[in-house]
Amino acid sequence: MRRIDPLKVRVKLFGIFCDFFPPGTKGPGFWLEVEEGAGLKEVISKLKMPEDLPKSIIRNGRVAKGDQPLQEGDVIAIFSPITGG
Amino acid sequence: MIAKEVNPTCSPLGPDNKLILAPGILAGTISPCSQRVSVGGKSPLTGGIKEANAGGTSGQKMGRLGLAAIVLEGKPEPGRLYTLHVSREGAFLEGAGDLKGAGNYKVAETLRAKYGRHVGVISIGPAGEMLMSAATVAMTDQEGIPARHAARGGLGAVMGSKGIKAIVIDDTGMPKIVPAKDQEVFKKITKAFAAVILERPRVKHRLHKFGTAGLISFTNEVNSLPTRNFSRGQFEKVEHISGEAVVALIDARGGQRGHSCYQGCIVRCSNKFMDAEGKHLTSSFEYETIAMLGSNLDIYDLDAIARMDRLCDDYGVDTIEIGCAMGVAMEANILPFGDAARAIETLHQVGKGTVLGRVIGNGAVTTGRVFGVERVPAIKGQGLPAWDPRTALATGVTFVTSPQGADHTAGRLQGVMEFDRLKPGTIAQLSKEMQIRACFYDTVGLCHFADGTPESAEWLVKLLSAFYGERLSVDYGMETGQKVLETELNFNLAAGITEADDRLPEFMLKEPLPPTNGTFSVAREEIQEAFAGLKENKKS
Repeated sequence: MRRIDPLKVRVKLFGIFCDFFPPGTKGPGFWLEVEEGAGLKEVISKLKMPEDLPKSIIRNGRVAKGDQPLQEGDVIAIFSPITGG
Repeated sequence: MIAKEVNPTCSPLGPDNKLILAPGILAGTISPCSQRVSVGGKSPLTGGIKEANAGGTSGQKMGRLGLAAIVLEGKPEPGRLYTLHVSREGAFLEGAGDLKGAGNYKVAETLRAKYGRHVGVISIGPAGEMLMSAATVAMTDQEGIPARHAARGGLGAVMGSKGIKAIVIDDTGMPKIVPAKDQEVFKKITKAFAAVILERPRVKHRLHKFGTAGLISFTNEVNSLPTRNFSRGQFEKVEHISGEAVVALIDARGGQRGHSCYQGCIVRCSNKFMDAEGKHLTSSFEYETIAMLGSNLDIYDLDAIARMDRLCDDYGVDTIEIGCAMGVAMEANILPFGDAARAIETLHQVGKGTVLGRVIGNGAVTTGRVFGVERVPAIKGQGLPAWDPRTALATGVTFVTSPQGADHTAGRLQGVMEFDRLKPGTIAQLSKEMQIRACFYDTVGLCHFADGTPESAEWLVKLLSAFYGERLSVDYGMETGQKVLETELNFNLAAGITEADDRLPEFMLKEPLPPTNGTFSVAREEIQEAFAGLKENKKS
């Protein structure tokens, strides 16, 4: 039987998403275990974030595209949609 | 007006330059976020046309007074300094008296005590009096704090060269609301547009709660946050200076967020930041300031950065230009990177006008020249804002092509698209559209935080149609914006600024940006193609 090991990804939460830090963790980043083949949807549901809460997700420094499977050590950062000045 | 009445080859601090302070077309109306003041003239920093705008209460008051613009022209006798008072009765000049040499805080306090706490005060600090090219035109907010600045490009020096220390805007006796031609329709559109703005997540979830400081973590994450004189796109100590850190201190010390710079603003992006004793330190503590005086200088003490913001507001200098200049000075070892106490002391020198202070107060290019630094982050003479173009590509095209020089409000891509895998061949076109749209908003006096999508331009056209009682075409916005941009580009051509000046600083072309080794990969040909046709000599 093939054993599937969980992956660890680094999650960073900012702005209003700081409300979703898992209990006992401190900002801005923490390691999250996900199953192999998991995508961003799984991260969002693990952290109990509403799917319809508008977010900008940056994966490894670039805009996260679609729901590609996560890799070990990926850095996922979640923000409200942005502006500046 | 500048294009029609100012000779593009005039000396920016001479009698032939003009300083124009114009409220937007919708100033004084109930239109959301439409109360900014646009300040224009020939820039002593870039040698080209300059438009810098600011919030605060003066725009709304100028609108109520029915002013199209205040124009300062000519030059007084040497040593003369005046205050201008504008009201429904007219305008008069009086000697500035002991406001000469005063910081903007004292100017605002004195004039509000003299003329009423309701007046708007537009002023220059000692930097403007000393004609420094990083000098700003300050404007007071609702509490009378000189926290809003038409900062970029040294227009404070132009105001100083005209001998005007301050302008008091007194709207006593004027109706509070400027009506549109078709006020009922105007009201309906205002209500609908305001509802759209308020629902935007960037307003609801970010600007209300974190202000622009909320961006620091983001820019850092996408490797675009200037660090140690633009040598890196990520700052190791970013969590000390993030929006989250700012908000924690604001809340712990009894400061304020969700604060508005003029009465009735619905976005309420600004804040009041207190010191450790709970006393007011600075308003408003913004993204560009925190980055350029923080990560760009390897400084991560928020109180020190806030102190520097306060000093910049008081002395009347642009936090972006000063941040660039200080980064260059640190590169030259004039003071160490990361030394907040020395940075504050250097800023005091700007206010006092010591030789070092005057060097820094004249911006990044001057500082680089004086100290022999090659890594100077400036385009067309103006220091770069807090977006490294080697990762923020569309913003980089704006920096390179804008007649304003390196200017982020001249046209920045909203949303995260900037850091997506933008299709090569489309990036320059995006910048051009952003710039045209920004020119339209600045003409109307719209705060860019009311923008969010291209549809905002359409909302504005509907509002303008109701305001004028005329049916304006859906393209009116972009056509107006394009005419403004072409006028600016042609002024610059006549002033001697050519396509050869449309380029990144050389060090940015040669150094990939750590830690991701981003490079500005937009081809020159793509930029030339997108902007072709704008620079031909067209009659304005």
